[in-house]
Amino acid sequence: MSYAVDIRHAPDAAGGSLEEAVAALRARAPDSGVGFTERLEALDRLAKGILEPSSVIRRQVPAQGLAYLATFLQKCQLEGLIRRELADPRSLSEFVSVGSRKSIRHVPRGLVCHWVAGNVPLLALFSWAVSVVLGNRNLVRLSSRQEDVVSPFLEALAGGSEAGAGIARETVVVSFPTDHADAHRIMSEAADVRIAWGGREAVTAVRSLPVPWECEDIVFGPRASLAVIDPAAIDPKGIGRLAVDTAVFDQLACSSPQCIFVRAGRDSERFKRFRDDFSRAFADAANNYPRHPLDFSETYTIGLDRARALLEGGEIARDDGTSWTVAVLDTPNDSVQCANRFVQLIPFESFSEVYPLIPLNVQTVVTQLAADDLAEFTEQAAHFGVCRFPKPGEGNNFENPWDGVGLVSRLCRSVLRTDAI
Amino acid sequence: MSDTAAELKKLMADLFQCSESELSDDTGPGDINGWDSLGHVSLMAEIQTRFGKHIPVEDAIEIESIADIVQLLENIEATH
Repeated sequence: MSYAVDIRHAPDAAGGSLEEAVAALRARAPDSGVGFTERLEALDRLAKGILEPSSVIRRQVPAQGLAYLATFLQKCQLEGLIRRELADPRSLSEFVSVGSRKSIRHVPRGLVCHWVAGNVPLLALFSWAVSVVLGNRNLVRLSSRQEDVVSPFLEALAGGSEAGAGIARETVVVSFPTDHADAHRIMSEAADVRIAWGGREAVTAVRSLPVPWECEDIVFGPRASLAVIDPAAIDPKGIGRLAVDTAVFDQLACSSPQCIFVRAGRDSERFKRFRDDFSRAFADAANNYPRHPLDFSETYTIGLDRARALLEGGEIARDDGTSWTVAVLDTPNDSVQCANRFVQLIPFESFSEVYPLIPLNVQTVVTQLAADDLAEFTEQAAHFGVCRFPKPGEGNNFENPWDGVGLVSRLCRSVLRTDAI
Repeated sequence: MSDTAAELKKLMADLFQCSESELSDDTGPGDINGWDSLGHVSLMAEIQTRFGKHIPVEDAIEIESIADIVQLLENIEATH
């Protein structure tokens, strides 16, 4: 059986097939003439364009996540994340001295192939933006079933400035079915870097594709996130932000807390006050960020999870319908479905009770603790796999490194030179 | 009212298409039309342009009112 590959966005020379699109991207000169600063400014202009009330993108792309993306694309943000990895970002434009008669230069890796997650497609634009700023060419693959959220950004970028138009020509967006093995193989074999977003099955499938040995892999697979909170260290505003972190992407984002560990005895007044304050804040957040209408299967799952929590000796706070649930349990229940605004509150006294309960695929732990406790907890928990410890309200801000991976160093090559005397 | 507060309210009235008299020191996100999550990012970008001062994301998240912004602007160094 053969399938068509739909070319959604491509430079003029890309032709109508995936092979031609790859060849066109590969044929572009190593230095496209659009410098690092111009790239930053083009993306900054794109961010401002997104924010315009009259922006076409605001009508084409779901609003959820757009604020995060617009923030991320700003010049100051992108500069900041690059500085976290490169001591002197001038090395993206020229050789810079690193002492001992050595100079370093950072150049694009080449062709970066992106496999976009089915459930949160906007996420791919974050890694695409970093790749673009560093001067790479990009091939973005969407599933045939996915709405194209990428091309509207490229059109806006192209319309914003000459540099933006140049950058937009360096990206091809394609879509083809999941089981189109040939198309996946062509992409993979052409890649200098592969970026895979998605669940276990999706990222494993990408990793199993044939690939040049020198290709760099960046895998953003399924992750779980938590929060660790000392009620004595958080104020009502912080509780409100924690509730938003949990509700805003329906717990679908890998950075959304599924469990909140609360430093207080289950029967203590401090715990009960936190439970009640958080439940109120969670109800408000659920109300402010409406979900899609739930189908029978989703409502059934929520009812089942509520029953599971109660049968395990837990207690629950919830709305009259199925908008939100806060379950108090002694240990996390792994069978509870994520993505249903169903949060588990787990009381604890000592951090040593929390460490063994950190899942292997942990990503984010939203943390609000006193300074000494924060230092102690983060030092230990980092060794259990935690990649980020943001404060409440920052949980879903895409940052670099992400999933413990420094994107900049993976998306450019470091070239060392001994200087002339 | 400080010069910063007055200038900020003028900026916000322009941005959110409202009257300055609708804006008090206690006005916060959600209190006026347009000051939603995207509006908040727009406001931070506009502040950087007009005041030449950058409010870091970590601080922007914690803003609950116009008074908070004024305090931040008066505390931070100019970035341009």
